[in-house]
Amino acid sequence: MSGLQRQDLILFSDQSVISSQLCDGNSNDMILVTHTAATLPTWLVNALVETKVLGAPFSLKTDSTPSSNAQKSSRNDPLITIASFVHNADYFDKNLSKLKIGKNDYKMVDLFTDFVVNNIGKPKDKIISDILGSFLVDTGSTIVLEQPEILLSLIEGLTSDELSLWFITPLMKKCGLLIVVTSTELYFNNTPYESTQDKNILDHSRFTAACTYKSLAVLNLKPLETGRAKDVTGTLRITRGGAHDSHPNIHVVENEFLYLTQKDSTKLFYR
Amino acid sequence: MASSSYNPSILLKRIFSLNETSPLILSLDTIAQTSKNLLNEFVYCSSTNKDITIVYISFETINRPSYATNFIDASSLKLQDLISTLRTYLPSPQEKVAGKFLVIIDSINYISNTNLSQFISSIASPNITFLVNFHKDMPELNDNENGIHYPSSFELLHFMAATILEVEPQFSDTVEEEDVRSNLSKFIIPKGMNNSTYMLTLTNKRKSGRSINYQFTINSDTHEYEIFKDMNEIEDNVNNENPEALQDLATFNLSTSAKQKKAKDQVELPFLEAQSFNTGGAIVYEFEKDDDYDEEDPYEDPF
Repeated sequence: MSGLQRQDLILFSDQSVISSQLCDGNSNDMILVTHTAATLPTWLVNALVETKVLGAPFSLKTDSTPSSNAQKSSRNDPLITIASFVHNADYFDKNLSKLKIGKNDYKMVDLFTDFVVNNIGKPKDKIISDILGSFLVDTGSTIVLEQPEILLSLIEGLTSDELSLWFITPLMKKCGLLIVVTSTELYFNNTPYESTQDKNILDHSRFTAACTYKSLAVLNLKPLETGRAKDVTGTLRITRGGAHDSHPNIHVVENEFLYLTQKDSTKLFYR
Repeated sequence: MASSSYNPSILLKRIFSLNETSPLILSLDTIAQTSKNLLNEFVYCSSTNKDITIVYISFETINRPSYATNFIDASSLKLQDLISTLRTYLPSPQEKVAGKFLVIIDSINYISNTNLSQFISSIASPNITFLVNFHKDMPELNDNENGIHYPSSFELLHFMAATILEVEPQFSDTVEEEDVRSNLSKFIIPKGMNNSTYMLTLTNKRKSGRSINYQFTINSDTHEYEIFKDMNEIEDNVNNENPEALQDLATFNLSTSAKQKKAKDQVELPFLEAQSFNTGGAIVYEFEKDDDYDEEDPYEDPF
């Protein structure tokens, strides 16, 4: 792998990772990140946060360091909010501090700590509206939401359509760009969802499909089909989502990278 | 057969420009090829007609499309509220209006199977064409409220729609379709999907009860529609006569002329009258003089 040339991450045709046209206050968009247990998206989420805060994903770049090129936003409010159902605030503080991103550069909504204890016995619409209340309306900002599909298991009687229509759509309206990170582990090693009658699998797949149809781009992280390798962790594939035509001046640049995660760094290679 | 009297590309253009009578057009898509480009074809072809009002009912699209005359965000509306909101933008069935109305529903998967037929029938009206988008790969959660034998939403819409447009990605020769479908079932989208050039299968149900099928290659950038496959001809070749094979087999003519074929196409088949539901389901029984009718036997009552 060392002989291959490292690549920079680009998602849109204006050579950007998150195009400035996405958070101009005139539109509400979504990017979907799908992953499995073997290819956790921590590095990719960090790179997207870094892009919003510092202007580029310096942790993945081949020729730059944050100290030399970083251009922080002049806004007083953070440009990005991170909300997670699977990680607490300390997890992100620790990870992002390594990239020279301070606590004041982003807003954290901890939906992980004591979520069940705080919401037990509450009606499902109340729980959803309480979560939505944690986010401010700012159409110039970006929200990263980790694994909202967990709500299908945590809230009794919640359906995939309710999760999409009551939570995801209103959350999209609150920001310029919503980045949803979701696990596709459920479908990876099981029988295809088309041939199952399991309501949980059907509900999860209906939700994932709904997110895909709403997304401008889909970033898929998957392990190597041939098994483990010392010099490759997995592949990152960038493809168009269902809402790919909502911005006429930019388009998603489809691409596929091999990536290698070692300790605190991730390198991208062209496939 | 039926295909002989229609030019497929002209028929498709007539459908896109809303000149072909079709109260309900069903658009079927998947995450591999969504129908966004197909919707744009309708907008492009009907843009010359200034009398078309486009009402966009959105469950999925947050950003209002520029072509929508009216935009209804249905994600936060109850079904009854949606129907009453929609009625404010549309003429009543009795009202005579000059222009046409195109109602785009993106997408109807969010209306439950139980309420689907009621929703369509409550807003259907002359002058209105419904362009209903249905995601084929979004699994349906059957609540069985109407019984286990009640048809699925897909089956209901398939039955109700006069025109069905199914979009699919155009696979290159090097790509194994089976691998792509297997990946899509795991939500792994291969590169090259959701392209501006795609395959479209058109099913148009004629008044005679026959349906005609064509497959096109559509280029949304240049708005060119190229017939890829005449599925009626393939069907005809498989099932029907080969005129050359029928020659000299008998002293009389076994084959059918073009005129006879056309006449055969136009015959309205008897079951179509039964589907009009005009006569109801009454049992008509007339007593005859020899009939033995026992008033005390409840099972004897023929009514």
